[in-house]
Amino acid sequence: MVEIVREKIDFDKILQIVEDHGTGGAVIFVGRVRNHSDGRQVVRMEYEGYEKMAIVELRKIAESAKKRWPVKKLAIVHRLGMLELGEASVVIAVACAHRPQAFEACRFVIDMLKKTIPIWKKEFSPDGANWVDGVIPAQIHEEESIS
Amino acid sequence: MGTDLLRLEIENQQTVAEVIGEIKKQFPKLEKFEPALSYAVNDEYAKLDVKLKDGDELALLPPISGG
Repeated sequence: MVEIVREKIDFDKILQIVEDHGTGGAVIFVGRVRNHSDGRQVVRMEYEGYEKMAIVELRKIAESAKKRWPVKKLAIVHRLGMLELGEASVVIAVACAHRPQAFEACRFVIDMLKKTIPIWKKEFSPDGANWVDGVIPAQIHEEESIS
Repeated sequence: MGTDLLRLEIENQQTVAEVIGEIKKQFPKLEKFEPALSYAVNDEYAKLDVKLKDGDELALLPPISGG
């Protein structure tokens, strides 16, 4: 399941999605708003996205993860809009039969997300707001280039 | 770029690069950002030589910072 939401991320729902009695480990990554960035104080963060493409790219990451690891259940939820300190901007949950696969797949998903998903964040500090320096997206969904 | 809406007549089968060239004629400031831009056609990342047809959606994407 991949989703872009504008309200608080529903952790209970994500835990339900990754429920599976054939899985011995579920790894959950929570990305959240930190109170500092490059030595600056951060008071809140705003996320914008090119939403329909972001969904397409999230689905590709989910498919890549399933090809590379025996993933039984997977959920990726990214939130957009204005977020306060500590609030979750992204949650990734991966359930596999064994924990090493789940850790590796979860790590892969968050790393790929940061390289490919068209979402942008603006930091708000006491001195004002500025768009976070981003990365040029990697176009690396072809199997040969991510191995 | 200083406007919410830009109407641009382009030829069928023009490439992404050619369309960006047309936009730059009206918005020369775009040139400054060009080295950092990526492009998408119909929600897929696209290279500059991709040809556009009627109804296609071209997106100019600045460096990304999600997560």
